[in-house]
Amino acid sequence: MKKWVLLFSLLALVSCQNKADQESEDVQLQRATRNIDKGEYNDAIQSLQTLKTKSTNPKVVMTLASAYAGRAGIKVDQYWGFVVGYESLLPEFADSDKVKSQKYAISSQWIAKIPSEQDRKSAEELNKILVQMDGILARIERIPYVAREHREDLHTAVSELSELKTQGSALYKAILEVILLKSAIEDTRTIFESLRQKGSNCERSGQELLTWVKYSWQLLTQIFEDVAVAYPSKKESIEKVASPIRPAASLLSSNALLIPLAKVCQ
Amino acid sequence: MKLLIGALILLAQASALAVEVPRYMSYGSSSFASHGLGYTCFAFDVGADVLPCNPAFMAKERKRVFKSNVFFGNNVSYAQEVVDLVKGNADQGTVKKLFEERESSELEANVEAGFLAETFAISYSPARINYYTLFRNQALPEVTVFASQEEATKLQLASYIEKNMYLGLQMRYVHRKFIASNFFLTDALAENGKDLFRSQEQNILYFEPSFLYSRNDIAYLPEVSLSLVNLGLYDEKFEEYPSSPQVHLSGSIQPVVAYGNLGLGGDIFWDQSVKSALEPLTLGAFYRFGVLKLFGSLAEHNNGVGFQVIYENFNLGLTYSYRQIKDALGEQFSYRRVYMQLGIEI
Repeated sequence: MKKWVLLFSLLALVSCQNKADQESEDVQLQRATRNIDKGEYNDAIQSLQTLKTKSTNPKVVMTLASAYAGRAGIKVDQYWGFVVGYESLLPEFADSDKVKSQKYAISSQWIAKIPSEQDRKSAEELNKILVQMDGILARIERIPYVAREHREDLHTAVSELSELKTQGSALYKAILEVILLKSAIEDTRTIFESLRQKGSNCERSGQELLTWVKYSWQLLTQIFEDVAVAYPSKKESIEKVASPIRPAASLLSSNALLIPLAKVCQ
Repeated sequence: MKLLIGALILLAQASALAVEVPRYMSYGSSSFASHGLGYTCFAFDVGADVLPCNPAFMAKERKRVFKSNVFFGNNVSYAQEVVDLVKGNADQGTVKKLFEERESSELEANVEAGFLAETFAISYSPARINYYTLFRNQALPEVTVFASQEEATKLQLASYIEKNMYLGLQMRYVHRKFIASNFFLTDALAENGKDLFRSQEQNILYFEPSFLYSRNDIAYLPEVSLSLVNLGLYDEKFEEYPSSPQVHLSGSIQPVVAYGNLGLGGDIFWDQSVKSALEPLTLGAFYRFGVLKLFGSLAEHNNGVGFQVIYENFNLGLTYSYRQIKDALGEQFSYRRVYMQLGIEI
């Protein structure tokens, strides 16, 4: 009889303790969410980081990522349009013939100066990438630009979300990556403008340009992967769009394009 | 012993907190009159709804009448989306439309028709729709959604006992389909977002007795009533819908006035959710003059005021309701809603 009483008491105690702990976690989450809505991001981040060490609840990680995004100035009003119309990012994207703007492409006169035929072809590949980036930018015009000093928070948010494997977290990660991509492409344009200016440090600007292009392409590859996780039934159509960009990603990773740029600068 | 330990572990994994549904939605009996009168609708019958809140009033009914009302509040344009959601027909387009505003919203709508006779009344409501969303976190909205569609049949019986005492009973059968869910916006918009909107069903048979003491021989017509509501047999219980009964002690007087009829009343209720001393008390009043009925109520967290105009067999009314709700962090939020009712009485 005593054993039964002890067992049931233990049962009740564990059940109550777990309920108390869970309520406490829910209240802490609500408090952190309230802090985010009030713009008190530092408080929210601090409490959520502490909660994360004690909890395996994916909600904690999502809320923490949103706190970092909020601190970077990103709110739902700024990305709602992309979320409901992300399909516009996908079609005809890889077909650079359909992208008309050549404003941020390397001019043919420059390419003609490159002595080696192989290097000229590499430069033309780089041009295709630059034109495609312009096409992407046209599609994500309304996504906000985030200044470099705030991007670390977005990177942290993306890194936090990498721990989760749900469709919802993948979609949110893709959204934040699109925001980073938009900002990166805008910066690439700024560097490109500086390349054109007389007296600019051509070689340094050229290297910086390639770094940004490489980073943008890595983001783009990651976005396609995350969107494919969020919408598994659309994986085929996403793969169809994403596969042509992978050779460009390899090209950028090999630094093969540094050579023609250096030649142009000589 | 191993089985018991397993049971212990299972019990220890407490389920997630249920979605908090506004109380007036979860009791399934809110109406045009109750939004204006609050719980003092148990104290007097202003005739604004198809059936009175307090079934004991049926014992004083003397005429036969057919009544039908359509009642709705803000956001009635969402009604089709809400029905789609509850029936499992929601797609991404439904979700996008419902969350387009990205603001907390609410919808309540009801259609009801009934027949009243001496000591007896019956009504049928083919569709009562309730919808409630709460948005938190502007960086990544966390959404609480509650949507329900109910079909209800009510039967009220009442009788005079003796010495100014009356007894009434309301039997109410409710079939309800509902969704109660809490998620992040991106969860709803991802491909498996539909899984968040799985509806559940519930069938309940309520037995709601009421006792009335009414002195028609005294000038100001004092009445005292004791009612029990939300006492029912459930096929399945859910945390979102409280199953604990609610007791109401109500009283009213009708002071003699030069023109029209004036009623003043109060109600005190008790159930398991009561948290403060003043919360159970509601004071209410009505005034009837010709084609116009005015009514209103005051309580700690809910206030309301409304009017109804009757023209021949038709009536039209508006109610304004103000509510304050405290969340788990102790912060108060206030809600203001306007409801309209169109009715016919033959």
